[in-house]
Amino acid sequence: MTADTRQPAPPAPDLGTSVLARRVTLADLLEGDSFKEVMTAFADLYRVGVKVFDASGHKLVDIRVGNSQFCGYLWEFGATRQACTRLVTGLKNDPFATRDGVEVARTVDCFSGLRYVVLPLLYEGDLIGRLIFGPYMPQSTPRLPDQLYQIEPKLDRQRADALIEQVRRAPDDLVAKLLTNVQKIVDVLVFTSYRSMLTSQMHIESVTASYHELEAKNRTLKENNERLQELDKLKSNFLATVSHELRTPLTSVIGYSEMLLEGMAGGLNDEQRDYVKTIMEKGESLLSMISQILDLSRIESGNLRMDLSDFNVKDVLRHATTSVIPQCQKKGITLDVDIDGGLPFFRGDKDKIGQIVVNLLGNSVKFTPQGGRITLRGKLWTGPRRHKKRVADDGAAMLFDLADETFVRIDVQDSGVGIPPEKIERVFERFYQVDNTSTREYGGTGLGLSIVRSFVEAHKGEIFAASEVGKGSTFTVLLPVS
Amino acid sequence: MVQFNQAQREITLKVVYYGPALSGKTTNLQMIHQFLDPQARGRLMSLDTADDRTLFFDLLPVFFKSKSGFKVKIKLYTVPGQIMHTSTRRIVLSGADGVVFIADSQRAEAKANNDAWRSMMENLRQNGIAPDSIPIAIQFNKRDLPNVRTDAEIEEIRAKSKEPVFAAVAIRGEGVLETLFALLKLAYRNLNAKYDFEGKFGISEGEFLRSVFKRVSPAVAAQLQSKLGSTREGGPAESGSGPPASSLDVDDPLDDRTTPDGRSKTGGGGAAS
Repeated sequence: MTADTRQPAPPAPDLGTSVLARRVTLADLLEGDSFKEVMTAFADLYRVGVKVFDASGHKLVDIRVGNSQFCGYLWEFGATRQACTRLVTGLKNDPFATRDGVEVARTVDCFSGLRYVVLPLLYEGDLIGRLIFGPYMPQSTPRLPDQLYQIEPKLDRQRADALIEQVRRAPDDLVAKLLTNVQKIVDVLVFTSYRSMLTSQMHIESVTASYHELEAKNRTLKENNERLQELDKLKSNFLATVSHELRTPLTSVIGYSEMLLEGMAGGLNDEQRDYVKTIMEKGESLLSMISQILDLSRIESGNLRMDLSDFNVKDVLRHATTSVIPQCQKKGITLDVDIDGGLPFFRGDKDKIGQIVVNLLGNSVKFTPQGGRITLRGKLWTGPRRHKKRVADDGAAMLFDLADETFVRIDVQDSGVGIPPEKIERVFERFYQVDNTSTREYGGTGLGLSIVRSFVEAHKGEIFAASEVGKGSTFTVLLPVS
Repeated sequence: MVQFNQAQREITLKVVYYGPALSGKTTNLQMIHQFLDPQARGRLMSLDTADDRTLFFDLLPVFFKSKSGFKVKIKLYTVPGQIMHTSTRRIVLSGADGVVFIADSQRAEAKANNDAWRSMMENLRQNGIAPDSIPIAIQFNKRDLPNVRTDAEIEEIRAKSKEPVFAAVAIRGEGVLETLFALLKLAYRNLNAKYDFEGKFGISEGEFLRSVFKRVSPAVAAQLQSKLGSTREGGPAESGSGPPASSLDVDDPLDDRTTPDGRSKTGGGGAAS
């Protein structure tokens, strides 16, 4: 076997504690009072006393029937009292004879002529106790033996004869049958209670074991989770630092390109002008990607600052369209703008709302083919939210429909490639690209929509998309008017 | 772990029947219960659910008194086969002195066999039992069903396996006692090497096995007699004759990849450890 280098196994169960390894006693198995009842019924039926002891000599049952007065009379005299004590001690303690290694019943005759049978109680071959049946008067003994009066001459024969009449007379073969019967009853009682005991104990042991297992797993999960969160934080910090550091030199690249274009370093010929223009455009698109990463890392580190003011949404929407008009023209895309003149002033972060619209429009331009159409709509709208749970974590939304609210509703509709239904919720995830193959057609960081959603949520609004593959997509932003 | 009770001159061994769900573990115990002399065994206790699936385990105690006056108890347990009962299986398996692995011969059950074997190895380890330190016997049950591994395949598994492999139709009692016999023989030798059963308790391998299998039905007895004849009686402890050591590749005997038809040769199975 190779060295076991995997995670340490949970501690092996303690053998001593498992019910399977424990030796049971009669008292564990038989409920005292119920067992007494069974034995009393038996003793009453046959009018013979019964005593039951467990393996350690602890008395479970002691029922006297019929012989009390006779034995009480013998107890009044010293000699018979001594003989009686000796006999009873022997009944309780003398070891059994064995046959083939198994304890067998024995018959014990009292000096008074009465008889006892001592029955071993066995379970799985273990001696778990003994049952003392008696005393009874054997059928074969017609009267009290003379030996009794030799032990104690002071005994009154007439009195003794009268008292012995109260003691049950029984033939030995009947007693043997009775005892087989009783042994079976005890056996069944012990078996069934042992079975229930094992069942309940195993139940507890299994549940306990499962509980400990789950607990250990939970602990591991929690530790892993904490480590991941730590890593995530490190990553966000790293992104923030890197994107900041990248921006600084990039600003110079763009700045100097601009200066070249403006002829500050002398005139450029057409070819040079084209090259520098390309440098500047690519530099700007690089800058916008870096800005997205920076935005995201700010959002993640909880450093998103909201610059609140009251502003005219109409102006922001119009202004946003200007940023995509050149690209639309380049691709021959028609841009329809339908803005309701009645839009109110809105309190929020003006720049972020602008960025939301620019990002959505830019996204649409990116995924809309030559000659397509994009529509930007803005209006005041009253209706329910789409994602109830997100705004009502207290569970109220589970019980009641949320009341309608009034929103500034912005729709950006395009005739682009569309999004498959199973991916539509995922487009708002960070770094997610519907097409994430290395040969994908559309570039980008996969952060745009994620940032949009963060900005929308920062305004307590919501964003969702509807789409049909090949026909186009519509992104809808709802910003609550408070 | 075998338990010694010097005060009561008692030795208790634990044998566990392990295997996938519905492979016939309980049936094995029921048959043993039927075959053995009532004086040498107790009642068969089944902790089962209403649909007869084993809930926690079955327990069949087998016992005898040695000539040297020691009471020897062998407790045969089954584990519940269903996946959900992992913790119960581990509890029952803890302290085992030997394991009988009941595999289902049906081809469709190959994966279930492999999974159960791996879980057994895992549970043994988690109980602190090194799988190569415990005797294991393998039984391919349900030989009478259609779509089972061929005899030639079983033969090949037997040739490769470090554990003894038996074919059985437990429901008819075929192969049941042979499997138990082989396992008890391995268990005895293992314990004798560790604890000197013969020297300390005066129980020879022959007496041990004969006492368990005494008074089985004549036909079965005759079959076993030939095997019983080959066991040592009263000889010195054979220290080097431990049970077959199993190790990393122990799951091979049950693994599809070893079958000649080459089914499921897809990788990823890997060793059970």
